Amino acid sequence: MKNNATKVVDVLKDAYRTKEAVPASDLWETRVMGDIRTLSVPVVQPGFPALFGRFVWHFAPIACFLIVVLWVALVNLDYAPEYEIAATFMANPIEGTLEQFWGV
Amino acid sequence: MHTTSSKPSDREIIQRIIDGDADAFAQILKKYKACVMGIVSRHVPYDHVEETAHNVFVRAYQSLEIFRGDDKFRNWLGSIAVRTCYDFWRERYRSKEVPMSTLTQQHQEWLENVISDTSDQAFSQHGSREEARELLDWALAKLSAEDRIVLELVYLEGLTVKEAAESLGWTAANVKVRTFRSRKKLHKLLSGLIGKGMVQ
Repeated sequence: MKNNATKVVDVLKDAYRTKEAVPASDLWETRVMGDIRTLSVPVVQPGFPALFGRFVWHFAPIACFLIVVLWVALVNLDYAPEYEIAATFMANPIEGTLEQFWGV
Repeated sequence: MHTTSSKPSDREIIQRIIDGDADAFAQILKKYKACVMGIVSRHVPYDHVEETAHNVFVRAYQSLEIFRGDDKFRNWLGSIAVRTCYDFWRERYRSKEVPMSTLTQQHQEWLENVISDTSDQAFSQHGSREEARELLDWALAKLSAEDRIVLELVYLEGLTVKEAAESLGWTAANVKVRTFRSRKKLHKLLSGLIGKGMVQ
């Protein structure tokens, strides 16, 4: 046996489901299209991967050029960082302390 | 045979709109106006249906860029319609413009008839009565905009929690909890009405 509130709810559900739709008039349609025409065209925004792919290649020639320039500069300067670091350690007055610290 | 194949698909029409042909939107409008009007008519008062449906199409036009072709356009548009109706109620509740109708002796009699009637067929006949809709409007006006839309979608329309969640862009858990609460509130309101023997 249904309780009273459930009975009423069932009827209300029926009432809700049988609501008639308001018909769209031609005037309404004209008004909507009038508004649409005044709006700007929807612009498709590309996603992040597309944007990344598009912009990253602009920097590729510059990156290649920089790599070549730096490589040439390093060769010409005859710069060898490992020797410089070793020389710094050899000449360092705190050499003994570092040796003790590292347990050498 | 040729006539059906020459009809442009939604995807083709949308592409034309994005390419700058705003007039192509008239085809979308013509094709889906009945569907949108149907959804909106269930959720907002009749005198606001045209205005809300108008907003639905404007929002859809402005959001065409984010429509993914793999989704069904009808579902996507339906979701915009539901969210626009929800926004309508949010705005109305915020500005305190929700009509708080009072119930009359006529509603009392109708309610008593429903309760005393024992045949299920008679219940559905009562459903077509104006009093039922007024009583429903009265009860829904007592709920928040969130509870209202969830109750309408899940409880009154019979959508699944997942479908309602997709339409509203909420989580399924949120919809489930709100449905439970709002249903309880509705039953409490109606029980109070029946227990009191009516209001005002």
